[in-house]
Amino acid sequence: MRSRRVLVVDDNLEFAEVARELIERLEPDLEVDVAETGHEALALLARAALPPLFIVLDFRLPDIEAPDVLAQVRRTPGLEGVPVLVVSQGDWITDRDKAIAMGAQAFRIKPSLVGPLGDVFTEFWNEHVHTQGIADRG
Amino acid sequence: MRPLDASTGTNVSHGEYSTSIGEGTAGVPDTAAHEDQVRASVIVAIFGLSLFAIFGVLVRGTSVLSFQTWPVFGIAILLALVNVGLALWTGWWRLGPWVAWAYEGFHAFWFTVILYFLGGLQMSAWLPVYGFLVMHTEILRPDASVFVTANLCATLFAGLGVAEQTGLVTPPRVLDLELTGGQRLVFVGWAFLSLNFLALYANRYGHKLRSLAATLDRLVHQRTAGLQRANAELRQTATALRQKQAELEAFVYTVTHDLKNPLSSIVLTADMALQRDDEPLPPRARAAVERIRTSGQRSEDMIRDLLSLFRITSSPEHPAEIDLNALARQAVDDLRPQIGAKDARLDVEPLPTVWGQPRKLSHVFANVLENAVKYVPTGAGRIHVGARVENGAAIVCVRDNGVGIAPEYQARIFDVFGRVPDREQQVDGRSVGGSGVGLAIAKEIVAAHGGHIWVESSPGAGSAFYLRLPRRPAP
Repeated sequence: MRSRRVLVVDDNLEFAEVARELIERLEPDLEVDVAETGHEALALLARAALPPLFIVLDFRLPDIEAPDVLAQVRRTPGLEGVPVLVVSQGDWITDRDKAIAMGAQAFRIKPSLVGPLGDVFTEFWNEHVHTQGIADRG
Repeated sequence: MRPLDASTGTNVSHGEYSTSIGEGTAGVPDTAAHEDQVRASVIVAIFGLSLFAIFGVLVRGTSVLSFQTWPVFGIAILLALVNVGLALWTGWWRLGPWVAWAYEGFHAFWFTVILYFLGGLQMSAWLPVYGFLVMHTEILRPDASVFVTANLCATLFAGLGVAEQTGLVTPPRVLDLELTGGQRLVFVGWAFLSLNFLALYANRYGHKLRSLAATLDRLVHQRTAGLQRANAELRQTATALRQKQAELEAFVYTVTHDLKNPLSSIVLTADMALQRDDEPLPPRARAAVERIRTSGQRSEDMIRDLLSLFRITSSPEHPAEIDLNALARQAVDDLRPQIGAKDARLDVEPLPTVWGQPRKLSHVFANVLENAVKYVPTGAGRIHVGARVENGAAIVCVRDNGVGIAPEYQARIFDVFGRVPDREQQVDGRSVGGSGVGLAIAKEIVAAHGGHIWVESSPGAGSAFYLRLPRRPAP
């Protein structure tokens, strides 16, 4: 049984709101949880009965660095395989490398227009979430 | 000849060669000086003993091995060995001024006595040879020790002359010559004169050498100090530069994340409001939100371009020979959509090679070409890229028939955020956006290459951007 929940971790609530709206457009029954900090995200994950369908993680969080959150997620039993999309404002090769090294499936620059942002989510959905679902069912 | 510090009389100046003046080497053994001392005593020993043997055979008609001569010869050998031993000993233990005195005295004593017993007072003729052999080793000594030794030697000789005159000593019989008192005086006088003259020569010449050495020493010190200062400064500058670079990186990082963040929220939120088809905005609200989005995007572009200014101009790159034709081809390829949209005609003449940093210069080239495409009218745009070589530099010209730039803005467009007001450069009846950073980056890069960028233009008559770039690395 797979959860229909998606976790968005970003202290920029405007971004989180737009992300929520766009993610909920991906499939009708998706629900988005928003965590503002790394700690909040980890607490939320610990409380949840099922792992989220995927996680959108902002690189720059107010408390813990995204790679550290990611490392903790990957160490948690049951969360090893959750697809994680790391988003960032700047294209820093070191950030990208860190995120990928810590086990993120993708690293994307946050577009500031709705269309391109929606494309980022759709692409991630198709490449990492949807296929995984198919694999699970198969 | 062992010296004594002439000024204080307390210091054995082993190793006090003038090259070390001011270095404070007191008490530090100077191997070179000690070697000289030993060498001098060995030379004198060999010289003295050879003289003894030769004179023994030639002048006195006896073999050195004959019974009559060997006790004297034996004493001579013993004295020579003691002399060499003293030289080694004083050098090894540095026992104080009295050892130096003992050495000096002994040195003078045994040689004088040997000379006298070989051939009498007339052997003073040989003293300059001895002096010459020994004094050259003392030449750099900064004291009067050569005089001390020379006069010690001459005084001993004079003492023997007086002893002979008064009958205390029987002179050696050489060719059965009996010296008169006047002749004795002449030989003793010669001993004083010749040795003092040599000492004077050694001292004066030594003085000259010493001052030369001191000057050299000072010069070397000055130069070394200067070099060390310069090195330290260089190191400091390098450290400061690295620090600045790191600060810049941190600054750019912060700007990217923290300044862009709220701005892109504004744009994103505005865009979201415009995209909600299920709840369309009333027309006037829609126009307002569109304006918010537009100016937000413009600010975002400015930040993005400002960041690329920092990044491009501060990223290190190895200079190389660059084929401008390849650069132009690349730029034209990248701009193909824009060129196609404007249906502009673009001619590129064969271009020369230049020397510089490829990525940075390709950025400049792309930027100037992009500007040209941006400001030409749709359907009638003409862009021409040409070049000439002048005084070893390549001058590239990108000419367009676009809107042109009024003279009062021609300098400002190369400043960061320097732009021509929108209403003054409408293309196809619309204003053309831009962050005002592109040409600032271009100017920065060209200036870093030792080149120059300028524009010739007038409103309505198009613009010509010129780039002067070096063709060879700066010497």
